[in-house]
Amino acid sequence: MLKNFWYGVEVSSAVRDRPVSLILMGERIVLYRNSQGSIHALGDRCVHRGAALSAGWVEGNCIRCPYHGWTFNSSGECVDIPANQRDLPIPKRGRVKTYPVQEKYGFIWLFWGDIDPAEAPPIPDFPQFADPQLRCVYGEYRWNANFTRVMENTIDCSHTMFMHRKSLGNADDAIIPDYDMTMGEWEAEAVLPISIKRLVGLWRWISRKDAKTERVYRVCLPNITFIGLKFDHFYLDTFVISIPVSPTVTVSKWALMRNFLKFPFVDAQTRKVGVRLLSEDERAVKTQDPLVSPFLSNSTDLLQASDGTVIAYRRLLKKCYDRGWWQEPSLPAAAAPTSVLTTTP
Amino acid sequence: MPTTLPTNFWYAVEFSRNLTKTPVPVTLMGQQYVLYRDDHGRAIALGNQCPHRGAALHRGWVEDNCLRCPYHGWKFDASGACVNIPADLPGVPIPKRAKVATYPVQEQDGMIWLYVGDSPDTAAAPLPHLLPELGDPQWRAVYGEYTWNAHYTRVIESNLDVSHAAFVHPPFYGNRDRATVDEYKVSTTPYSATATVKAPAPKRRTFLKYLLKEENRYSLTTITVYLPTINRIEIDFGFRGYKYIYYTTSLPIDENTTLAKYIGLRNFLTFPWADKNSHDNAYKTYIEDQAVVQTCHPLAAPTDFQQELLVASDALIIAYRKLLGHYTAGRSLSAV
Repeated sequence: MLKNFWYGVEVSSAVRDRPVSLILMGERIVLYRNSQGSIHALGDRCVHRGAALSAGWVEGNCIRCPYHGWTFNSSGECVDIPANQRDLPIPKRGRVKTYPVQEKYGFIWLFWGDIDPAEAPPIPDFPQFADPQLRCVYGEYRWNANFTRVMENTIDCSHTMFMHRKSLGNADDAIIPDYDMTMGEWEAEAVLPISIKRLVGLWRWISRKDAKTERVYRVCLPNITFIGLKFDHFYLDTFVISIPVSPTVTVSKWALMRNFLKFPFVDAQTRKVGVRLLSEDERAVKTQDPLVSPFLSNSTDLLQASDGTVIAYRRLLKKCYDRGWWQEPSLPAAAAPTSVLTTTP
Repeated sequence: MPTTLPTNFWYAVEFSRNLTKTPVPVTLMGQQYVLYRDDHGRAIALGNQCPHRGAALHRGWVEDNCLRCPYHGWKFDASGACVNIPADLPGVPIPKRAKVATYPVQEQDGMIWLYVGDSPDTAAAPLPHLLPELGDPQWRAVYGEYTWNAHYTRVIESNLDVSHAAFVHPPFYGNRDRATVDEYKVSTTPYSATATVKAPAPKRRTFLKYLLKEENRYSLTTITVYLPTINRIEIDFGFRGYKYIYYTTSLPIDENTTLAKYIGLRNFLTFPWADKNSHDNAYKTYIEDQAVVQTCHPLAAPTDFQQELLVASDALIIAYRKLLGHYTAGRSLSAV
């Protein structure tokens, strides 16, 4: 995965008074909100006997381990060991790792890397979230696929006709006209017309004849993809964060924003369509080989002009790789060293 | 021979009373064995894979003190030798390779013990005799088992843990303000560790509340681990000599699965109608422990004393990890 970036890792409203567990490329992290409402991220492994702090509970500014009640403050320091005699100091090793976190756009962002987070690429601008006209629903989807393949799937503009014919509707043809990519320092964007003129289901309502249509694909490192659909003055925006849980598992959390049919009873239908589209995609994405998108050379996959968005994403990955910001998945903890016994039992 | 387990040890793998002429399978870290009892009541242990085509022998049946494979009827005697291949023409000799491994077996304390290692003469520890109460008419026994989603070392440690009750077990939640564990002394042998700890009584909702009415009553608990898989916990309620003994073996099925078989003994309310309550208490305790033990990472308890931070109240666990480290030195207990 990429390092030295802010990762979108959770929907803000999902972390309330209970801790929530997060796994980033095998590393266990716990997110919790203290009694003042501020969000914190710690290593999700009690230093005492390895239990998950996320199975514990929040007390004030601290999180308490469910096993023996060890308590850690938001700086990761252990401040209480209930079984210890009262006058005993807390051992210096009694601490867990902390991660910088912030909240923005209704999501929680965690900094993953070894540079000063202030010098890292900032969370990109998404003015959509400031628009009070948009109604937002959240959902998530778990993929059995590498995050690079998941990212590419969302911004892939030529698969719609094949993977989603039933859910979205038929077009006259699958040809993708040439389009331009706008490259940012850590992101890329493409704008295309929408070739499906008559949508099915919920979308039928907005896809009137001769509507002026537009679709925007945007990918921002390390883990945001965005699709903006426009039918005249109707907008349907999909904002996705894709969390690399392991090399083969990715969890996408998405916000679907619409400026039409904003009644709450349409939310469930919207959510259902979102999940259906993703499960249609997964049938193909989970079979992709190699596991990780071959972004260092283009020899494995045969990319065409219509794959401009994917090519742009891989170029961004390559740029990070060249900077040393690509991190191989962490391997399982090294085998326990030989016994440290000083005396034979 | 499983490489991730202490070898040259006797493993308590099944209840004696469960072993009849019907063969039963045993799994230790993926390695499969089959047990059965012959006409003389003798317990026999063989490798569970038929050398012919790999079928599991425990699906077969016992015949003339031999075990017959369910697939093509090959028949193996107690020495593991094949004595009949039904599909062969009469007069064809049985191939020399037609045999399965055999393992030494003993019975003690209501358990069948299987020897895993080179030869019982090289055993790292004698067969323990830790349950003299079993069979004594003053004691009533119940038998039970459950499966943990955890490495066996974590399960054994949960049985040695004297500081978790106030956080994990609801009847003890009321003791969180007095969760301090008094210093206790651990006595060890080359293959076992024992300690007696004083603990505030739980606020039980079950019939135990009648035994433990007083707020400031303490119980004395004597806890033992005997390598590789035995725990014995004896609780002295400090009231009319009432005691409860929990004796268990934690069988490593694989890296993340442990089969616990326990015998619960009590010298109070020895009527059969109280058995259900005894089972229920053991089961509830297991469910509550498992909820947190299954989150422990790494899977196997680390023996290096660097990855985790053990404190004074963990003295028994420290002793166990030292013993474990001694018998598994240089070998990883768990891949993850």
